[in-house]
Amino acid sequence: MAKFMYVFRGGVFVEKGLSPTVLQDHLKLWYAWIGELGAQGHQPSGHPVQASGRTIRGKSKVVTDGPYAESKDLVTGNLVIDVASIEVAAELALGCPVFVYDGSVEVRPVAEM
Amino acid sequence: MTGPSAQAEPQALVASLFRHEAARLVAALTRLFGPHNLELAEDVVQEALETALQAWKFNIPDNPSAWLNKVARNRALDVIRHSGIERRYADELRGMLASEWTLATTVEQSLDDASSPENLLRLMFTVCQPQLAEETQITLILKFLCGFASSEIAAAFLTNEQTIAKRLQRGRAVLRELGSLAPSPLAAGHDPRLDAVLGALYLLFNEGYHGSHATTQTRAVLCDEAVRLCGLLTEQGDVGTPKAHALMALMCFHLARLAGRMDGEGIYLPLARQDRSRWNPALKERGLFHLNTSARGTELSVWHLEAAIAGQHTLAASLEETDWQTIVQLYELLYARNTSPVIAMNRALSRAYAGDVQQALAEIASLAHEPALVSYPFLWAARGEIHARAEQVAEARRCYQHAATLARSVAEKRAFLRNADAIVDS
Repeated sequence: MAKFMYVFRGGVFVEKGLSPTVLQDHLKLWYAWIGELGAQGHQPSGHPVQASGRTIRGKSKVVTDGPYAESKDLVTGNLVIDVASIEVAAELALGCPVFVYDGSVEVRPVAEM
Repeated sequence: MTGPSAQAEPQALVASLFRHEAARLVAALTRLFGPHNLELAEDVVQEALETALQAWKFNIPDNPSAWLNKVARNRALDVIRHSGIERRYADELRGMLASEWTLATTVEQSLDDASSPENLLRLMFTVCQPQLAEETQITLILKFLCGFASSEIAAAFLTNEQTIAKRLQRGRAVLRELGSLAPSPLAAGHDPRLDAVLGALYLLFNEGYHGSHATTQTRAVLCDEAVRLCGLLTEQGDVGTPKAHALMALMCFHLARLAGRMDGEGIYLPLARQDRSRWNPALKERGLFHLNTSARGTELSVWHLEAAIAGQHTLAASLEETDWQTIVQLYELLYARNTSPVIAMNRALSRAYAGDVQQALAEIASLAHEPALVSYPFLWAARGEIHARAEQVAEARRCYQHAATLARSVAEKRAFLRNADAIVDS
């Protein structure tokens, strides 16, 4: 088993004005997907992040408000899972609800120590 | 962090969570901002829900309501601090919100109280303004007290979004004139607006129960919402008004029979052919409880009479064992208060079941030219039933066939035609 990290960008996060019904139905998709990952023994564990924040950049360590990415490139969370290979990790990512609202998942092997 | 063990439940928890939380928060914030700032309240709630979706997508917090309260409270404080004196807030709280000394505690208290049903009740009584048409009142209830979007309300009523948007516009225009939410109906004891509220809830329930168009699921949701909102009134202990208990009894008795109402193909079954063992015993019990509770007052409202009739039908062991005489008497009382031709029609039908077929025939015939019933398929179905009881076979069949031509859905049509076919020549 190896650890892989999903980095989520965009998704429903950037869509405004969705109705409570649509929002709660979307949340159910996440729980179904994560629940399935858990049921298959992949031990999903991670953090969702909010839109706001600060960015500190470069040698001069300039601090700016907010992540400046385009909303579809905005990081919206990460999740670490245990799977056999990057192929399996990528395959499992296909079920992620982030795609419903045109987001993306980056699948990265966690560096082994 | 997300642990695998914590993932079993959240899906079930979400069921109607966002809708009901939205309603709860809109009510609390409208109390704070005033009904004229309803849109501002909606914006704050929308933002809170979007924040929640982002934060909760891996797991749901232990106390979602408290979580949302906190977000909404902070956002409300921001709004009030930044708009300064530009905006006018609720008359009853304006002084408290104007001073930085009392602002934070007032906002905090309002949001902490957000779980009490009082805000929802006040908002419900506010949107049932007498100058608004009932359909507009229901639209406002669905929007603000049930958390449905305009498009969802339009889908439930099989109408377009513009119609719903127009109703909301009319509603908002009236609400904009109000400085505060309607006072709590709990404090007032007898509240003249109660009838409008109960009327709107019953209409909402009927839209779900009888609405011939929307999907089964939508219809169940509409019925559930009517029961939930009526429950806000009945769950208030001593102040829970007898009339609200009567309406609740009526709705429970109807819902108890829901499962037996259609056959496997979704065709309506006549009362005589329904399998009573499929009727829901828990809902029968609950109906009976509310009917008994409704008898505490001195008033005998139309809701009491309607509930008593539904109770007679629902609690009877069979069609034959139904106390039709009592039902006729209840319809007489109902008709004395409300000379509706539909009530007259049902009275005639029960009279036929009670054995007085000749009188029933005379009464139903006199309704044939009622403008309100001319294209009402159930008048013709009732007429068919009475003729069948009078053993006037050809006439009975003709009436059912005519009912079928007026049917509003395929299921209705097939039900009427099946009744026509079921009549045997004697």
